[in-house]
Amino acid sequence: MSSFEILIAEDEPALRFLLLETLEDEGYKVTEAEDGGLAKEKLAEQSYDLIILDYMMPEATGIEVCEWLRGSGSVNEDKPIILLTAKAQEKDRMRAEQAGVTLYISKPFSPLQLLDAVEELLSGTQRDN
Amino acid sequence: MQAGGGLARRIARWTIVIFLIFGLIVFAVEWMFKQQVSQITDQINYHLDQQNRLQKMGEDYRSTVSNFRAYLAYDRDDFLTAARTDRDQFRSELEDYRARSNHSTSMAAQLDSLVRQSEEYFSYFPAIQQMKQEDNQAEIERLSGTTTVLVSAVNEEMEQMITNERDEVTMLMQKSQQLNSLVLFIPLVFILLGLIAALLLIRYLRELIVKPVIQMESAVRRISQGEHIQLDHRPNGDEIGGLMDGINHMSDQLQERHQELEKHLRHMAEQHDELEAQNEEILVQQHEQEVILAKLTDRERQLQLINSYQEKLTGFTTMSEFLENSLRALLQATYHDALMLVIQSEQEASVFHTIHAIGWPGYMEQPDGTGLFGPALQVMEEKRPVVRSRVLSGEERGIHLGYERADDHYYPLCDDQMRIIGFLLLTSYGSAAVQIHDKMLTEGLINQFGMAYQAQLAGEERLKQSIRLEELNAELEVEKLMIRQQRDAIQEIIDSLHEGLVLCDREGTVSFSNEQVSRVLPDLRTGASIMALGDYLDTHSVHAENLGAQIQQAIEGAANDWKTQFSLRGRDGSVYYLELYINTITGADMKDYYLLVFRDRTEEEQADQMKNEFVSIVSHELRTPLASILGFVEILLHREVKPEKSRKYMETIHREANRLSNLISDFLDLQRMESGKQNYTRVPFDLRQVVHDVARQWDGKQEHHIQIQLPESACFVEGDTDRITQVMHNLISNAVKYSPGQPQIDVRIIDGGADWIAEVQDYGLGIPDEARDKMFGKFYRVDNSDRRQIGGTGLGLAIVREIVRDLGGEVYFDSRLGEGSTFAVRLPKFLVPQLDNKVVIIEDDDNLSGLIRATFEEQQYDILSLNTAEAAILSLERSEKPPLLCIVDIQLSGSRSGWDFISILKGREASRHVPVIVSSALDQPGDFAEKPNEKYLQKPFTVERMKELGIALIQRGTHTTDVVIAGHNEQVIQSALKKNGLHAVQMQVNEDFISVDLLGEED
Repeated sequence: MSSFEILIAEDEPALRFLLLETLEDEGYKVTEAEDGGLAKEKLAEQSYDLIILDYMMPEATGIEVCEWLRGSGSVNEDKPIILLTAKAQEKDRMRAEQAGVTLYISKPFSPLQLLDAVEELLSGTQRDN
Repeated sequence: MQAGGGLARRIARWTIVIFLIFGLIVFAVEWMFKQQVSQITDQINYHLDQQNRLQKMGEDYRSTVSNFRAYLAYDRDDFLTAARTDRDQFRSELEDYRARSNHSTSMAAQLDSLVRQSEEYFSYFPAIQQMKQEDNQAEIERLSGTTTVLVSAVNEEMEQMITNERDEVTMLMQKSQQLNSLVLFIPLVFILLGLIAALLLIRYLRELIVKPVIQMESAVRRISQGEHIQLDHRPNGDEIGGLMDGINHMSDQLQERHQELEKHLRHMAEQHDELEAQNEEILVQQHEQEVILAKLTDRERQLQLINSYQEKLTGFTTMSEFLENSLRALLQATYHDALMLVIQSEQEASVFHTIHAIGWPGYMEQPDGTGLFGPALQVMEEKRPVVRSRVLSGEERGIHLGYERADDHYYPLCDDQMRIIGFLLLTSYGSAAVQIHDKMLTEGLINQFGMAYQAQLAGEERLKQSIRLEELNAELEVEKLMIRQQRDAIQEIIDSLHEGLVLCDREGTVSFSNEQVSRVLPDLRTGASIMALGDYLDTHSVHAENLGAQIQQAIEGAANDWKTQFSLRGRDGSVYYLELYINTITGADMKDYYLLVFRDRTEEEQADQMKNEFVSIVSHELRTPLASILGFVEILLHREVKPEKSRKYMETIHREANRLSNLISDFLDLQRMESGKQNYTRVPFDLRQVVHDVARQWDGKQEHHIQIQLPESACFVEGDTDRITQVMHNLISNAVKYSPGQPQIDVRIIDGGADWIAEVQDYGLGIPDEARDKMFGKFYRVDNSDRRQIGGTGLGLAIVREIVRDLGGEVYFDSRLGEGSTFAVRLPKFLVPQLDNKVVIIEDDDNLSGLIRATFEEQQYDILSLNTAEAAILSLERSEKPPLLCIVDIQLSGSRSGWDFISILKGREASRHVPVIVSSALDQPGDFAEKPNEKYLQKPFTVERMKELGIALIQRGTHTTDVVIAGHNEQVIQSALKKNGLHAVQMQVNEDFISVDLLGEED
């Protein structure tokens, strides 16, 4: 079992709990952030294999975090990013792509499908350490 | 005329004299009688005096005698002294009487005898006295005989004298009476005499004056009529006589004067005859002169006529006026009788028109358009005057009586180039009138006419043209005005359009733009190039879209249905959302023009954005809990999950589903309130109760302690209890949610004067300044991760604000970040009305309530209208005295019914007797159950009937406990009462209502 590290940034406690449960059951190591600001802090501190961001968050939106990360020069600069959003408009999807989001998943989402996607995104990478 | 005064004065004088004499006589006689009467009265008085004296004398004498005798008898000196005194008194009285006496000699003798005898008696006194002293009784006895005789003699004498005096008085009295009757009678006699004298005087005057005056008046009248009168001469020379003489004299003089006048008249007549003869001679001369003069002026007159004719050749505006005036003058000037002007048609030489005719019988005016013949043809051909003598036609004879023949003179008319244009026919009846030397003159005059006619013709043409020009001008003016108005209207329409319009031609030259354009774009003057606009758009559009080139292409015909949307930064800095399309228009010059239409869709865009945003928020808010629910459900379905985890998942699902449910119901609530479809019931209630109940529910939740502070007495407000409860729930739940770790929450009600203020205070997070304005907005939550944990729909405060506003109150807050917030709801106080002695109408239909109110107000009752049973019950509980009458609707808008009120009313001792009319129908039709709405509409009594019943119930007094219910089916009403927990003690069925005696609930 690999021990990929995943950062999840989600302000809704229920959803955060859902993500945590879903990923931990599969053996991923999960770090939680409760808003965009905290997510940035964690991303600056440590390297993650995958980042899951909620779109609408206080302090910084998922898009903002993504944009910041892509030009940041940090260790996480090129890591895959999944954006979860309740905003399902085409316009929002375009913005997400421009910001450098790897995968765009609209809410409500299937946790099992999310797991498949995570697995796929991580399949090509090896745990660094 | 006599000297010494006229007749009237004489009559006056004599009348005065007569009346003076008469008066004097009356006076004298009266005076005489008066004298006599007084004389007699004096005498009577005198005799009465004497008589009195005599009586006194007698008394004194008798007293003397009796005293002396007493002296003799008793020998007492005091009697002697009294006798002596009486004697002396007698003597003096006697002397007095004698001095006053003027009686006859017989009386004098009598008096003398009295004196003698009395003195004789007295002379015995000394002797007797002597004897007494000597006590010579015998001698005294002897002498007493003598003295006794003397005494009686004296007494007799005196009696005699008194009698005499009395007789004298009686006699005088009779005489006086006679005189008095005479005094009364004499004036009567004189008055009679006076009347007779006056009658005689009037008779005399009539004879003397009135008759002659009448005579004279008739004489004067006759004289004035010319008669000669001789009146009788009056012998006496008074004024009347004089007047009569005067009249006679006047009459004579008049006679004389008349004769003289007649003589004079005769003389005058002679002179007149003479003058007449002279006059005739002068008249003959004058006539001769006039004949000469007439001959002279005839010529002059003709000249005048010619002159007048020539004047009339010019100065007329219309042809018909010119012809009528000038031709009539020509006829007069040339001494002709009839005239006809015939002119050759300009179009056709063979056609002639009679332009004007004077003096011709109507039919003889030549019919238009016929060819000419005879002399008329001749004059046209020869161009010189033609004369023709002819016999009068029958009709002409009818007009020109007495003529047999007529001369027709045909004169040619030429224009200025001496071309013949027609002829003038002048006719005279009786050919002698036209003389040879006038012929030349006539021809001259007609030539003049010809020229004037030409001039008039030309003038007429000019006039016609100028009128036509004026008409055309006026038409043009009207058209110009219309065009101007149309243009203004179109300009206004164009300016009032929301769209900006720019018109340009193929070369891009602007020929028109409206005001709207200049609001957003720079001024586009006529003649400017459209490219300037393109450049402006390119530099100012928010996203560079190369609009200038696109417009250029569109104009060059590349795309006809071209249309684009773009946003533009306006000159005021704000962004405008515009739509631009171009229409091709074909102008009057067959060229293509391009109309650029700029449509401002900024508002549209903003509305769109707001809508999108809202949809996006709602979608986000709904999807978030849904995502959790679906996610966990999927895990539970597809994975093996340990029981304790599964339970945790289920709890999350439950919580999130609840959240979703709350969100949906809050959202729908708010939607309903905002659209005004929320129905509120408005009942008075005690705000303390609601606040207390809600606060109790939250106390202890999430470890919070709710401190409640409420006023002692009830805080009544009017509103919907459910909704106010919702408000309090939202506020307290917010307080709990946003004060984690600060367990204290204060809830209180404050007296705000006209309002009650419910406050909820927490000591939690507080509200940042930038959030203040958005607090009551939809889906707004302070954007902070601390708060995100707290959850909530973001609709709570929006709902609070809607409810409080709808109930006439307001909500506001005070907060400090980090210190906590206080939210306050202010609601108007409900003032509990008093029912005391009023007619209370409990009815939730305002129209019906107003109608009943008006009806009872006519009867001078105090009225109170209430909407709900709650308000009525509250008022009843808080009134000192019971109401007079209650009119109760059963179905009311609050949660309690009319029965509840009636039950309480009848259960209270103080108000048990108050009469009630139930205004709802209970006796419902069979299909009532299926038609619940009709229940509210059916009112069994008319307002008028309700008034009758009400007044009757009020006047029946206080012992009754009647409730009056419409209907006649006892069972129905019985069961209705039962259903509402009321028991009828007694029921009485009347014509259209049932009267029930109720037992209410005891307090």
